Amino acid sequence: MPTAFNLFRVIAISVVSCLTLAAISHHYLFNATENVVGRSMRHDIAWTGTNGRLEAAHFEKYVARFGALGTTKDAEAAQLYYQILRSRLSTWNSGVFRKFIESSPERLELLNTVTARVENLETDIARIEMPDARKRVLDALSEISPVIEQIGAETFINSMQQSSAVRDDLRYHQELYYWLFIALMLSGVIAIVFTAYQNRSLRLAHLAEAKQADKLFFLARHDSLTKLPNRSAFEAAYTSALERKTGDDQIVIAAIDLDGFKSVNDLLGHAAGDAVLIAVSKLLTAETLNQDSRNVVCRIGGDEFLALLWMPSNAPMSMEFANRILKTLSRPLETRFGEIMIGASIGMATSEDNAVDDLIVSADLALTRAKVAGKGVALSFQPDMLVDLKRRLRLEADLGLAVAADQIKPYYQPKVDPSTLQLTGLEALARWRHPELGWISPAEFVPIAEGSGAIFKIGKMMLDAACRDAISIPSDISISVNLSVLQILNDDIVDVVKQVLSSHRVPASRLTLEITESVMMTDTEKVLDVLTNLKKLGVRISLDDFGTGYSALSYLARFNWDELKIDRSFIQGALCDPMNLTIIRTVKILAQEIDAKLTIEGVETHEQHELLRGIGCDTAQGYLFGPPVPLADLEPLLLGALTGKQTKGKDEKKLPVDLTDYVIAIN
Amino acid sequence: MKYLFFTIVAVVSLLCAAPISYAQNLDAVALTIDGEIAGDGPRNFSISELEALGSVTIETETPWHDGKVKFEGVPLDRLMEHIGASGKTAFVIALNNYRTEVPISDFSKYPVILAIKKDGIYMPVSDKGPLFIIYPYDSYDELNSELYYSRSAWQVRSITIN
Repeated sequence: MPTAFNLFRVIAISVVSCLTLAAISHHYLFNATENVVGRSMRHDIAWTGTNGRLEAAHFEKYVARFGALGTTKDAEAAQLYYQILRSRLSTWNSGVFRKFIESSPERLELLNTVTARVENLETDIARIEMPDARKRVLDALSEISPVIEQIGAETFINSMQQSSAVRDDLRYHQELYYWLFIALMLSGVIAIVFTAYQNRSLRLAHLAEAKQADKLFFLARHDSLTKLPNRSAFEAAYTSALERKTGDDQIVIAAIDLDGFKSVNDLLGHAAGDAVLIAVSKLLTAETLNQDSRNVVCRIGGDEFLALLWMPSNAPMSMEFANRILKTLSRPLETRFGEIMIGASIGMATSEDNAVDDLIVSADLALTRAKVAGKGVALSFQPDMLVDLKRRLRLEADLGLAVAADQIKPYYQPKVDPSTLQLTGLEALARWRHPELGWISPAEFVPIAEGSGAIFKIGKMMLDAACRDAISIPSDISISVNLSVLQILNDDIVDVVKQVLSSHRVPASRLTLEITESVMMTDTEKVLDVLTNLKKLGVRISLDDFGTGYSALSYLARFNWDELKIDRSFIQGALCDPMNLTIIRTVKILAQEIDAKLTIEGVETHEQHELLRGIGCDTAQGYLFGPPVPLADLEPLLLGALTGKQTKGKDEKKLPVDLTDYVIAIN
Repeated sequence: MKYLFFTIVAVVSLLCAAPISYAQNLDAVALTIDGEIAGDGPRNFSISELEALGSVTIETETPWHDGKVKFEGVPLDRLMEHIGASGKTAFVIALNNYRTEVPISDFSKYPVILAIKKDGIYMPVSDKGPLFIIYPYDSYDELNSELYYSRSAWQVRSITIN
């Protein structure tokens, strides 16, 4: 563009210069033409010259007539014409004519001679009736007349030459005018051409700008990675869809979240994550547009997508559609990083559901529920999800006060030796009795507490309470307390444990801290560091829920665990699937190898108990041996434990506690 | 024509009487005006009679003289008024038979005079006298053209109004 711009500037300046030059030229040409025209109008000496010739001829004629005829009239005429001729010669000797005469020295000399000769005739003219005078006049005239004729003729030639010069000048000027006209026309044409060119450039620039504006507008409304509409564009589409919707349509909002996307990012890198998002975007777009061209898919951030679906009213198609999407996304995705497996969970809400207020919020709730329900599933919004949400918000608000109001307390569940049924330990479990909502399960409030930060207070309170209660519990019974991931990642956990133990004067060896396997997934190095420091205090460390998460056996090698607690699902499935029992056996061998105790959770029936006895694990826990109860309710059990010690080997099958008592107690 | 003849006779006799001098007879008929004028027949004017109508002066350059020349004479529009001219054109004939046509409108448009004196002296025939139609050439650019030069007749003898 700068070159074109400079070129245009040069051309524009040239055109303006050309026009200026033409205007100046025109001015001078006009003046010159005026001069020429003025010249053409000037006194024409040919006229004076010609009349001189005539007058000389008349004069000669009257002198001759008088000589021939002797008429007085002719004499008078001759005398008059003498005066007239003198007048003529005086004219020839003055003004413009004189200049012409002077232009040739010969001519000047001739005229001077003639003038003198004519003046000399005065005496003879006065005596014209005398023949000798007349003869002298005629003699003189025979010399004078040819000179007058000659000068007269020369004036005519001169006049012709001047006229010719004037005509030539005019023609030349006309030619100049012609070229001036051509120059003006060319300047005009060049100016028009370049104006058009500039207009074109401007138009192109304008188009480029408009294109840029379109691009910016697109960027403002779209996700830059997947080119899908963004949240604000989606909401605009959603609002307009609700306005356009007729009774024959239903609008379904599907909230789609990828399962395992974080692992792809962590294991394969963000570029692979982006490739997955792009591939998923294409699949989702294809699937939804295939179903209805009015459908819209957007990415609202991370690995979450929203789809707006038009469906015929009263047709339960949304679940079919959702399952088709799940099926599509469950296939390996083709990316430039190779095939990547991913899954998705879907939550949906439809405009036909009267309970639904906001489709997007409702779909989101359904998605949350779907993820909790185990991922890879699609769920439609149900009113109770909204109830759940409200309850969750309520619990979150009340949780902060619950600790201070002493609503959350430790309940203790017995851990026994499955072969002797001897009480070996108690696990402290947080129980929240809400003044209005009643009992709140830890599975429900712990995640909320982790989200709101209340978990630190609760965790410290549990530690404190467990250590305080340990004083009134026989010293050979260990006390287990759960630590949440947030507590472990918090810097002061080692100090907190140390301080609590010392303030209640409880030996560290009596305290077992349980952490779930999932804790190890967050920041392995830091967790191992904290656990090592805790273990240095003398407390025992237990790996809880073993076998459920991403069990990596390397954890077992990297830390000196005191206890492995195998997840309740294994013993509960042991009767149906012998494989579970095999796993338990294997873990038992593993535990022995790393010098850790093995605890089986979730033992509820005698059959399960029988199986355990066969394996020979160290500790068992479950409703069969007792549910979590307040410390006060444990007194009979503690007594039983003491009794058990005393009656060891007497009746091995006898359970120390009647289960029903505890069930009643927690309800 | 008889007036013309009479005039010529008068002039010639005068010249015969004083051949060296160009002194003119100021009372002899110098100009005859006829055509569409008031009264019956042509009107004759001597130089004195013309002078009696009142003279004005024009000082101007001409193509036929060197430098500026001072002309005195009767304004032609005054003369036309005097004779009651009702035509549009004055047909002018000179002693040398030169003929020209002058629109009478020229006389009102420009202060044109019928000059009698040049530089204070009555003009003889040998100096374009006795009567010379003079336009104020220096005062009007457009008068410096062949058209007005051709209307500037000298040695004027008669005028016919038509």
